[in-house]
Amino acid sequence: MKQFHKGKLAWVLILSVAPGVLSADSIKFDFRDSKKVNNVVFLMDAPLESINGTATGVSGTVSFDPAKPAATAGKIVLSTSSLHVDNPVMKKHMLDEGWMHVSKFPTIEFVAGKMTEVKTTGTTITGTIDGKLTVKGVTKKVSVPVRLTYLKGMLIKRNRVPGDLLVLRSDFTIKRSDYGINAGNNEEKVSDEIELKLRVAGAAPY
Amino acid sequence: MEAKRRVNAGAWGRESETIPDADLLPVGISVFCLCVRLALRLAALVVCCSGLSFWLGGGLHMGWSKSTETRTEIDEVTGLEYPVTASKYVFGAELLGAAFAVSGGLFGLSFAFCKPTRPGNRSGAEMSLI
Repeated sequence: MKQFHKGKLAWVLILSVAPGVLSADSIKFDFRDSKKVNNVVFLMDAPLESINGTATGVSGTVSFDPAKPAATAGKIVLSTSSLHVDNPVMKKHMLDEGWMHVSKFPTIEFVAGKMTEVKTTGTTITGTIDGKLTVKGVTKKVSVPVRLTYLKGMLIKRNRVPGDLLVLRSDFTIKRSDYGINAGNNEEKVSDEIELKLRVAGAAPY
Repeated sequence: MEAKRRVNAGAWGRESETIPDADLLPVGISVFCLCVRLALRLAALVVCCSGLSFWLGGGLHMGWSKSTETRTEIDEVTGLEYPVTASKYVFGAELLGAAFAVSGGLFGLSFAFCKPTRPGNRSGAEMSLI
């Protein structure tokens, strides 16, 4: 009986410690950035008008293992209130109910599932991340090309804190009609396709 | 003394119209018309030049007016390009167009204050209608 309990206890210990052991080499990077360097650029090129803007309200965490980059997973969150275009009237319209409806949908989220087609060249890793993008309450599966740059020990140069940096670059296109962003309207001035350029860096202090 | 002369324009479907005879207009009205005409044309010139100079000063911006200007900088450590937004009003092409439209309107309005043409200065076509 005692032996049975000992065996059970051992399994419980093994199972509870295993996830920690398996993810021991995975580094968690925080993408919250007070310096507002992390940004997303959006471009819309319609027949009558070309609109470009930026957003700097980036946060989220990504787990990255330099030895197993394919296991990269995490979540990047963008605050919709940080969306910015230089024309004040256009910005007001963009944030209003008709377009992004910021008061109801305060965030845009990208959840990274798995990374495929991984190629490593020095500190740079390229691949495709399959994940889920949620915009204006609509979630869709997307595959986005990414370029990761792992900068070991470089956080001290940036934030005066010892640690690592993970730089993530990704360019991809979505359709506003897929996410219910005033779908089908004003396409001569605001194109259906939105080109997104994600430029973010995450910090992992030691 | 007749202050007005009747002009027969029947050939163009109009029965007749009356035009004031320029020679017989009071001097005060004539001077007033001249002043208003000059003022309107001067205003048109000022609006046009102001619009153009603001637009040129703003860097010949072809898009809409902007209340902020975004420039791109590069983070030294990560090499990331990031936007830096500064408050600056940039005169847009739509305001230049509006300035030209107002200017054109003022200039066009100035013709309403022209002296009526004398019979001697009329073109042959106009004279044939009289």
